[in-house]
Amino acid sequence: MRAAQAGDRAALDALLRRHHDRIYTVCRRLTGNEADALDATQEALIAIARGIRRFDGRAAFSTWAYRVATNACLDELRRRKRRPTPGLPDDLDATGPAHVGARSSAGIEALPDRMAIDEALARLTEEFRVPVVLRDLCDLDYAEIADRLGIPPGTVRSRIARGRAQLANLLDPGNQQVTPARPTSRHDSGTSP
Amino acid sequence: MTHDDPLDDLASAHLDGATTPEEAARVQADPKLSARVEALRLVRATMAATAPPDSGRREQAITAALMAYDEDRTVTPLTPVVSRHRGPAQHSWRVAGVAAAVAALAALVPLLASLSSGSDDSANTAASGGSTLEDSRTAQPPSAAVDAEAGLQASATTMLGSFASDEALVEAIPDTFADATPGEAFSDGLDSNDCVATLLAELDPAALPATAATATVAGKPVVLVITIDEVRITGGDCTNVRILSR
Repeated sequence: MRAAQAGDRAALDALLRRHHDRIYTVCRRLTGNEADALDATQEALIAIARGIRRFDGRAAFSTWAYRVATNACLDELRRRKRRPTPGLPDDLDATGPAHVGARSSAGIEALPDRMAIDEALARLTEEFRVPVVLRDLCDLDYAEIADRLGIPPGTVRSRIARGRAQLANLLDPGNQQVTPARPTSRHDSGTSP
Repeated sequence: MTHDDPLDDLASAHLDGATTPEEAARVQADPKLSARVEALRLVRATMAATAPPDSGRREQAITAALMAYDEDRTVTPLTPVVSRHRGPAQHSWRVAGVAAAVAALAALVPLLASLSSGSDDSANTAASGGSTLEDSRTAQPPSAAVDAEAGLQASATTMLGSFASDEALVEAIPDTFADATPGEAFSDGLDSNDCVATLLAELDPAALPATAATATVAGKPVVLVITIDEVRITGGDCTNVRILSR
């Protein structure tokens, strides 16, 4: 990392390769789709390359890099809100819930597979998905998430709880009390729960 | 459990270690709640599992970052970055952004000269703003890669105009002004400008890219740096920086 800060291009190359997949994962989870995740990942890497000389080392490089990635993803989400919204994918029904990771009638007893969690996350609206990912993947605490999203910590806690519950329900065929994970309008996603 | 079930809230908070000792004891004593906590824990454990993108996109992203790094090192910043997969529309925005940066540079020179003169004469400052606007509208981007249409678009946004207040100025900034990431190489190009350098230095690196512009607020010329989230505005002394959300 110090070599990259000092101008060593090869060192930066190695650093970016080492962290790329993790950054992509953060972006994939936060944005909920691959196209936006790819854009956000590229923006994050560019921001890291541009900002590395200013990185002061007070936090771990990975912590800083994921913070940069998180910001790139949130920017991408803001851009997406300003773009025309295409229809939902054919396999995603906005009218109500559907279980996506059926494993056992007794509930989640094993790790849901990757495709199941992808699809379940895609069914969550941003207002729930983003806090859950920031907490469970980026390991930010409530206060940090509140600061990042500009919402009160109590709302963060509530949204995380509701988002997790929706995910668990979507992945659990035995639970029939499932809340629709997507509002009737995409424009509802910015409102408080 | 339903979405507003307080038990879900309790289980989730327990997973985060955010429960009181009494609440934690309640969770541990209730098999249904404990099972819910474990279900949420399993969901969390799956969060990190995702397939990496194909190697082509991986290489493209890394190459774009290395190009940006190289640009910063050589301080020859006005080169468009690798276009993203959405195609020519975004690329043209980047070109327009670079043109905006060039035009803003041209506009800032006379503006900063007027700021450093220390004149409080509103007529003079207004005239200075008008001159800046005129200069910016006639500024031509030096790069052959910048087409005429992009140059016009960029130069038209360099001097944002005259406003009664900071808030009115921020309200008038088009959503797309910094959103399409114009001026990604802008900071290096303006490092020699004290006011803009001051504004840029205070930005979180994660907030970059930023772009700069000029305006007149309450009859006084200002310099502003715009990111996707906020606008930082300063007048003649460079230290009284006002930060407004977009």
